[in-house]
Amino acid sequence: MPNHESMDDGQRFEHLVDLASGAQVPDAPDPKDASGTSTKIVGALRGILDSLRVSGEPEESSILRASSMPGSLASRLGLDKLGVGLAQLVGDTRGVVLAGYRGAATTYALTFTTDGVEIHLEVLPSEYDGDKAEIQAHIDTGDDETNDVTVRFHKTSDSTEVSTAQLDDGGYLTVSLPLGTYDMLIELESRSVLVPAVEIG
Amino acid sequence: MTSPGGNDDFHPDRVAECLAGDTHAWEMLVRHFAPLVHSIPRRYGLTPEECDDVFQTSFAILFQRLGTIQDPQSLPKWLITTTTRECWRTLRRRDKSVSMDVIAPTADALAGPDALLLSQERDQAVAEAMGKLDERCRSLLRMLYTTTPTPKYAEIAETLGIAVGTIGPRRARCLRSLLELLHATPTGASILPEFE
Repeated sequence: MPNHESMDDGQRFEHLVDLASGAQVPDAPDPKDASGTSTKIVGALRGILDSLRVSGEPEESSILRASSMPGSLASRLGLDKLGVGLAQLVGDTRGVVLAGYRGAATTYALTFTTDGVEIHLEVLPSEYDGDKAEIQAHIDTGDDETNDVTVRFHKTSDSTEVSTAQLDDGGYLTVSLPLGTYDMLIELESRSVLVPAVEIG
Repeated sequence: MTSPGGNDDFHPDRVAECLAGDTHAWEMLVRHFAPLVHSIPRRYGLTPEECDDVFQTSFAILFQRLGTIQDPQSLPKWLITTTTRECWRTLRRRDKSVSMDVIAPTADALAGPDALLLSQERDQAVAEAMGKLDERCRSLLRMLYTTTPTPKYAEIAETLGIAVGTIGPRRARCLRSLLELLHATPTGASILPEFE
């Protein structure tokens, strides 16, 4: 335990830094600190150390990737963006909590639309694997045929393709995906629809 | 709008410009909030690769949902909530052999959006004060607190050309200088106590 009386100003501050960084545990109250200033300084130093630990700007390349998104979502997936419609979110049941209905908050529905195409997704937690969710999709393709419609799921963060499925004749499909955020690409006969950043889980 | 994330001003009208397809407005928005979004996965102790994944994904979700955000003033809190949710998703996806018990988010990360916004103001003030510190102090504090993993004292001493035994007292002097610089700023004065 340090002897507060014998410490000079520099040593006292060094002691406070040790306390703030966890290198020392608090000792007996400092008799010279009747106003609690030392305690406040330790608190302030802790905040500063926290700020230093999380400091650092994101890489410029990260900022550029994120900031070029509206124009580049399709090109990131290697598509001709002229032929790709970007679907917009129009419905999200998350946040609608049914009182007394256990589990209601973990199953939710998302609805997206673009140019006569409506995409309805039901996201259900997997019964067997807590890291996955089942997605039951119904895609109303409007005037387009539902034959040979391929749906691809790409990880939003790096565009890796993680799953591919075909719509059945009724416009339905079911896939199981790890929890995450995905860009969903729907390849219709004459055009494609991109649903960016679909949150699963 | 206050400046929770960046140095440049961000006006709520920018959101409408983004929705109208203005790519420059979108870039301004991303640059403004980049420090805020970037700091959150770091508070959760995620790896640099995971931090970048969370960063990209959070802005992708924002882009998708921009049209549903009723009040642009709520954007910082919305981003904090969304980014935090991505952090937890990332943690859940990690190898099951990594116990959730070893993950130690900072206290402000657990305290919610309001606490994180205050922390962001402090982060900004600390970053500005660091820029005013002399180079030797700045290098020492960076090596001690922002480098992962933290180098050993012997490595720090060799890199900075100082004696190992002087690192402790120098660290205290540098933090004191940082505290004094912070205290001279409006943000610092509001979050720091008076001291001699």
